[in-house]
Amino acid sequence: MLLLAFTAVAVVDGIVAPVEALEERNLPVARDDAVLVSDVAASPHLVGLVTWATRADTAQIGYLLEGRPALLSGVWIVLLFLVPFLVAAITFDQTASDIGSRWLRFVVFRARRWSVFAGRLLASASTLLLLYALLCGAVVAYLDLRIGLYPRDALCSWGARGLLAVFALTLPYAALCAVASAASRSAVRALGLCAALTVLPLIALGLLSAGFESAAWLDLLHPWGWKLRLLHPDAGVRLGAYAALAGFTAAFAAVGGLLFVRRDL
Amino acid sequence: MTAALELSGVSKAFAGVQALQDVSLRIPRGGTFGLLGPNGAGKTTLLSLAAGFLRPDTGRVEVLGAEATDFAKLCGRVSLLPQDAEFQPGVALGAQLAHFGRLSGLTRREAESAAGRALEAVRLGDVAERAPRTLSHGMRKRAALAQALLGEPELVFLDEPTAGLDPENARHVRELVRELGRERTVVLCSHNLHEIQELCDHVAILLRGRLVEAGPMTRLTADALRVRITLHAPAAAAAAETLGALDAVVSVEVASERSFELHLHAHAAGDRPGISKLLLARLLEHDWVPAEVRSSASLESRFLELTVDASDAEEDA
Repeated sequence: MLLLAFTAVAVVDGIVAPVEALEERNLPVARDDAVLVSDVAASPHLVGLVTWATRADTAQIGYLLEGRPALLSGVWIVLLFLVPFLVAAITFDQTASDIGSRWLRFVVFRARRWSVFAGRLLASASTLLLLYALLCGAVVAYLDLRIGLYPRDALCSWGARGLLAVFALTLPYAALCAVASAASRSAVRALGLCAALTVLPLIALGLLSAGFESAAWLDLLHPWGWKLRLLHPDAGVRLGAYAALAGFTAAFAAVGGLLFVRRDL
Repeated sequence: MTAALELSGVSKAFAGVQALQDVSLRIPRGGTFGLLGPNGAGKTTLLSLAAGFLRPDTGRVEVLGAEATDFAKLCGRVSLLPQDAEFQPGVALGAQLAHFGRLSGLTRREAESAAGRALEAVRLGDVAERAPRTLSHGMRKRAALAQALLGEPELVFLDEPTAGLDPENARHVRELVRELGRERTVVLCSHNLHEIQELCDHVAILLRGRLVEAGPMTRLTADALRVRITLHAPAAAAAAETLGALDAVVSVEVASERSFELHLHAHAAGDRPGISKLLLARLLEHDWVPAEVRSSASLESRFLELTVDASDAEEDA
């Protein structure tokens, strides 16, 4: 968490500083992508820091921090880091407390269990999408109205792409939390299980892949390992990441759904 | 005609505890069927299996001719009062019932109207806007019964509908159940013997997860007598000791040590007048002249016979 906080501060600090420098020098505010890249370049040490923290390649970090609306990129990078924890904290109780209170006994002879499960998952994902959209909207509006550094259409398009990326990473974790919730009879137990299912593989696979050069692929065995590929300059890599996360989502949702449909309520 | 509920060789265990063991039971359509048993007999488990909340470890559960979990065939045809389900504490009762109505396939207007009628039926029409957390236990119980009355179900399962209610509301709920049983099939689960005897035309008795008796109420109670004897002298305790020694007597109760009155349950074995004569003869042998002897068919007597038999069988084993 400390590393994440430090990265977030560094990213924001490194990106806002060049904008202030532009204003001090009375340079015209860029409204063209070509000018944007050269004028709002992130400092090399910032790129190095983010590269080190995320283990992404320098080219990708450069693309994110120099070639695109930079503050927004910073927001996306931080959000992508936080997604597993944020999702676990918000969506841990999709069905657990209603199983515990037996409220679902009023429902399951009136609605298909699959429908109940899918409805809860969809509602959780929609809540998070709304949350991200509000955050993204606030940053985009701030950048456009207060700073005016980037072309509005580029800003909106990059905002939408980042929103999609964060949402894509959210879905498998929401589905994983649905599994934990369907397996629990109390919200507290569901929260513990969500935390365990989310964080333990992240730590274990992250450490293994970081510790052994040849085991870097292990990082791709959990959704978090795909996060930065969602904002990769190469469209093929991006599509691959979206497909992988869709696969994780489908697999987790299927496991959770089967568990919920077959369990005693 | 397919049965309302049919269980074939059903067993269910929870964490090693056998809740139901090889239960086979057929509940016909129409009328009110009672499921009777002491606490822990497996009544709620049986109802939960029928409602599709639980899945049997072995055996088969069919409801209205379909698998208990076949939602497509059973949606809207079955409703249930679960024993211990709780409403969402902060959402208005009327809104929750309307939501259940909508899930059952009613339009918004129909669902709101049905919710209002159901709440009126259980005398809760004035609390539709209140959140369940502000209601008493008895009111929440009646609200749960109201949700079971939504729509037009063919089969209604009621798990302990009068548990926790005051006598006046319990009587009202029994009236509701009686009316419901005239139009639909009602499966009533209770450990209240008098309630089951009053409301049901068929009954099944469960003991420790096993079905020990099932059939029409008249057959089950034909040989089971409840006898009330009032003596001229305060000798009920001594009389109870003497009569309790008879093979036909299942149990005896006296109000107090120097009471005039005793109640006993007896098994008539096809000869109800003979039992009364036997009891009278034994009393007169000791010069205990009865002022009054009243006997009636009793589910309680039959239930006690079965309970005693089961305990004896366990001791023998």
